Amino acid sequence: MSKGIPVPRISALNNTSPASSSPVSGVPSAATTGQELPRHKRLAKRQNQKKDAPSKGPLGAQHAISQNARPPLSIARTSIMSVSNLHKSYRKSKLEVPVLRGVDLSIDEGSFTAIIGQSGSGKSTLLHLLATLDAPDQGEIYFRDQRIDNLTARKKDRLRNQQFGMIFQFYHLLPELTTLENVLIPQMIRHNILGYFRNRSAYKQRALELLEMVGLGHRLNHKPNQLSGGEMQRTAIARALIAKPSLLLADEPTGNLDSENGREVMKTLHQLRDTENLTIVMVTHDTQLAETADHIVDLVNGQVAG
Amino acid sequence: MYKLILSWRYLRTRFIALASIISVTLGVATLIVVNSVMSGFVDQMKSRLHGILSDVEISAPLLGQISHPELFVEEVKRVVGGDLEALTAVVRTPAMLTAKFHDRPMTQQVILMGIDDETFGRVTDFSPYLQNELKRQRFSFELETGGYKDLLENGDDGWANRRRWVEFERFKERLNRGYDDLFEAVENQVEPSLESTGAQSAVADQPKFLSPLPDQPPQLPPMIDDETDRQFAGDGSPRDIAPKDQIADLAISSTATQFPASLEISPFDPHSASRPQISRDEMFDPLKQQHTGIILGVMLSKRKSFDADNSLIDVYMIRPGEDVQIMVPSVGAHAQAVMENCTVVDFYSSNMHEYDSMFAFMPLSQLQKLRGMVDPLTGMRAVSTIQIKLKPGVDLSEVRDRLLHAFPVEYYGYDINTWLDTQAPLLSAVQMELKILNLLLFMIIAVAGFGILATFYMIVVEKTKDIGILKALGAPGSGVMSIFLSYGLSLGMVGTGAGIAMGLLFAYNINQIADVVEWMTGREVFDPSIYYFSEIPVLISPWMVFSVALGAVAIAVLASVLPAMRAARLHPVEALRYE
Repeated sequence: MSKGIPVPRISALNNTSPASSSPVSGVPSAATTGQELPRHKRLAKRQNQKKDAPSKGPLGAQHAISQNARPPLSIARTSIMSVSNLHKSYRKSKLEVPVLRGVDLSIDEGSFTAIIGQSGSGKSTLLHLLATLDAPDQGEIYFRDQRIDNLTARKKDRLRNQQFGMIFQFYHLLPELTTLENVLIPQMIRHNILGYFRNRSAYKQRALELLEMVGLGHRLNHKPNQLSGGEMQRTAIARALIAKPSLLLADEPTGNLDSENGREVMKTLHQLRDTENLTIVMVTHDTQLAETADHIVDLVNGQVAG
Repeated sequence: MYKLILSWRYLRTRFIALASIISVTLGVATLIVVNSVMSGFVDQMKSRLHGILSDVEISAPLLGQISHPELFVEEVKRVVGGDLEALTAVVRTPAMLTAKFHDRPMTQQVILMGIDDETFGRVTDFSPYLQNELKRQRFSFELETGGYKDLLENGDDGWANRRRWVEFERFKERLNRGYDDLFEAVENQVEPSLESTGAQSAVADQPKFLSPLPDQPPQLPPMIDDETDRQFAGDGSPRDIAPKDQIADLAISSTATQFPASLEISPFDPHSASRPQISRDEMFDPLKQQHTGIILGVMLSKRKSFDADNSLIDVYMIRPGEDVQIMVPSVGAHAQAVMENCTVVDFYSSNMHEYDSMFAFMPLSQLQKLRGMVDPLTGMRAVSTIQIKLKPGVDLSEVRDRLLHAFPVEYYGYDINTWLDTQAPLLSAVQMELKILNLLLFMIIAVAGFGILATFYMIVVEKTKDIGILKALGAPGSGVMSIFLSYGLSLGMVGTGAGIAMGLLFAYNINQIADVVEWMTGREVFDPSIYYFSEIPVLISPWMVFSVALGAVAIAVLASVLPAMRAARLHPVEALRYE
């Protein structure tokens, strides 16, 4: 774990993050990773990756990130997440459909990365892999220098709950809960009943602030079916931020919104990146939207296009 | 936390699941009602069966006897020890009961119990089932002057009824005698005597049961006690108590029977009153005195009939105060039938038809004397049965086994049984019925369980996306599972709670409900004449309610396990993609 990185949230997260207590070392076991890859090649890659991870390594420069015109804001850029040689395929009956064929990628702390690509290019799959919702067939994913793709389900759950915020195209709010409760759900999941009740006023305060920030302070007790699409997405953003994550993963957040609401949502995301130093990875098929990001990753046929 | 909120919200918004839980509610309610009624039935039946059966009974075989009861009782007391509550010795024997109904003898087979009025009531629930309210409080074999309210048509005085009955019998006798004389006279071509016509006219003039001899003692008292301890008991000789004799005694012109050809009919002949049998003691006056008291099972007397409005009424063929004859076998190798006149002093009504139509009770000492169970030399009185009441909570079978060890059947030949042994066939049949009913009814709840399972599966499918969201937000599979488990639990509890409320309400008001159903359908739901009880008995045991509730909730939870596991195993990406 890179302790020297001057990110204010890290020290707090160190204690609770499962990654910090994880015994995962830099040396991967042969059993868990890259069976198809020759061992020496894999090790070489691994060492490269490890060496370069803190700074913007050659891997990133070589493959993944095409630099945007706009210069990065942060002074000291460190990689918060990196993936190497990611493969994923789906099986439909006996037919194996490869979706990702060796993706290498590094995401800087505090950056806004847009992943674009055609429908079926594997961008949503990549995001799901980053979010540990799915496991890759081959390849490795690192979050703050800790390998996360081979964690136990329990640790992945905690990672998603505490480190990652997620936004979806179809908002994915729980229809039985009010706006406020929807925002609070990650905290409810994180703590048991007692722990939640002990700090519920603090959590509620935080949720109220977030809802205020996204402009929904007046819609606290509405059910999702009483909200407009934009309101629902803003609720989802508030929900994603409640646990103070370090990484926000957005899957076509504006895909289902009209241009007005889409702009609103994008504005909010940019604002978050600027004010909270939040790292954002957004999947979109809208190149115009992608233009506003710091980096654009173009996925073509399951690989990062030059 | 989210588990509770979500399962609570699902509970409030998914009414289809509530519909599926209604079957649990109905199942629970049915189980509670059926169990309450059945255990009420068993309880009532047990207490009725137990009624005149003691906890443990040691009995000699038929016509046999326990010859030295004092010694035997001491030994029994020693064996039973501290578990003993009370003990009584009885004589039990088959007997024939003959009563006259419309001048025709009506003979019924009974089991006659000679009971000790001191101790018998302590051993069995005897007195609560007596019909006379005075006897219920203070038991005796004396005819009472009140308390026979339901048994007599005119008032509740047993002695008044006895006087009416005796006078009526006399009247009938006089009437018959009059006719007999007339017929005999006609037969013998002789003019009827003045006296007999006078008697006839007296009968015609006085139809109101008045005896023409109100102040005269009867010429031939039927009963003269040869023993000393009881005034009016028979001496055990069938000759003295033969009905013919008695009728003759009560007759106006007894001599006419004895000397039919003679014209010297003198019914008031004072000499006829001084026959050798009638001697030292005062003469028996049936108007003022009673024979040995006997208590009959009510069904020996009671019959169903219709009154003028064609509705069912009870008719008593024998009433308190009237005399009956019993015939019992004497003990010993050469059993003989011995007879005794008894006065009915009360009825025993346990509402158990077997008992009420079978048992008759008379004083122990009289029955012993009658059957020759008193040793002429030693005066030792034998009994046939020792009845034992044990302290509450004592294991009956254990005491029975102890007694069996102490009095091995190979040597003594006595039957030693608990009352449960005696009634085992009936009780075990009822228990079996209850078990099978419970099994079948629990299957209803199991069917409800499958309904819940299907409904839950649908809900899980419906909620697939929400499950995906929760997993994406970091909820572990166990958390998702527990949402559906606690949903199942709360549905089960709601259904069971409603079922308990419904069942208890139904069970507590079952008789009123039966009345309403009766009123609506016009058909009798519960016919008290078929069953042992006047109304549907209910016994609600908290333990039964608890276990039914536990079972139902467990089934609801078990039924939600499979869907919950499916929910827990859902892949988040596929769940999120699910539309």
